[in-house]
Amino acid sequence: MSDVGLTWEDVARTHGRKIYNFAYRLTGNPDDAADLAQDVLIRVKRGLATYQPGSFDGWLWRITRNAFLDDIRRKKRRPTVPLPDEVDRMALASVPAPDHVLAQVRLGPDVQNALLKLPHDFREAVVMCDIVGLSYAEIAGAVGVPVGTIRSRIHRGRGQLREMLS
Amino acid sequence: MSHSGELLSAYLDGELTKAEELNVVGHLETCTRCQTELGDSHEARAMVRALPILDMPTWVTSGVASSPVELPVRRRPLAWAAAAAAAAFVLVVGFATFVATPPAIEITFTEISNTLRLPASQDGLPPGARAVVIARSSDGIAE
Ligand SMILES: [Zn+2]
Repeated sequence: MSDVGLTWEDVARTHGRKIYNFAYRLTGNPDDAADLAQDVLIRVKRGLATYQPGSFDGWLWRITRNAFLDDIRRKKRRPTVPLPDEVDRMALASVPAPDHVLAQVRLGPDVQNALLKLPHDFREAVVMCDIVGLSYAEIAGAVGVPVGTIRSRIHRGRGQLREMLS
Repeated sequence: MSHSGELLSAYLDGELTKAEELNVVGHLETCTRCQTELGDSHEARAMVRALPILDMPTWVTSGVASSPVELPVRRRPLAWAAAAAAAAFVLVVGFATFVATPPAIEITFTEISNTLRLPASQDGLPPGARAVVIARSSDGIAE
């Protein structure tokens, strides 16, 4: 995307869904996720005035991450268990299937619960990678740690998820 | 030879350098432990990627559209009011002190308004009135 003349509406259109799903998978709660997405877009709206064209994704996900951390500090909120609204969409799980297929159609709430049990740093890295689709370098830029740290967090996060869901 | 460990997820994600990738591929040919670990990482990734992607509620953007650019916006007025009561400490020390007896420290209402980002208006104050306000706030903005 061209950074020139970017408006918050553009960002909402192109990244709103990703921001919302990032927040949802980190909190496990759709209402908190919506509040967070709104907070992020308001920060974007205020921040675009001084935004220097460059790594847009780094800038946006740094804002998103900070909004989430500020929210945790403000509310001292713990992640909540997900609502059962995902069960319908994952109805495939009732169909008998080989083990390796079963693993991939595991109920969403199980996976969400496992995500919420991960240490925050691992969950953040895994969600940025596999839900948002950021590269390791983009995640490292947003989080402010070396790429090697992100490698480690993603691998250990996935290892713990696999353990919990086996 | 040491195991590939955390390089395995990076390998899966196409995040290794060419040299690292050659090493991992070579190691995987003979190490069943790393083959299993790679399979575990692959399955965990597939499960997370299979989570449904939800649509953002439309009220989110309408709330952003109506928010002013220059002021922090509190999304939940009641929750914010409670937090503000705890965080902000606003004390009106003096009010309606007349010009004939100037206070030791003079702070005009306009200055206070600017500091607190309140509307700079003296409407409703008696002529010559001064308000002395001491404000403390955790984030520097008392509202
Ligand atoms: Zn090995």
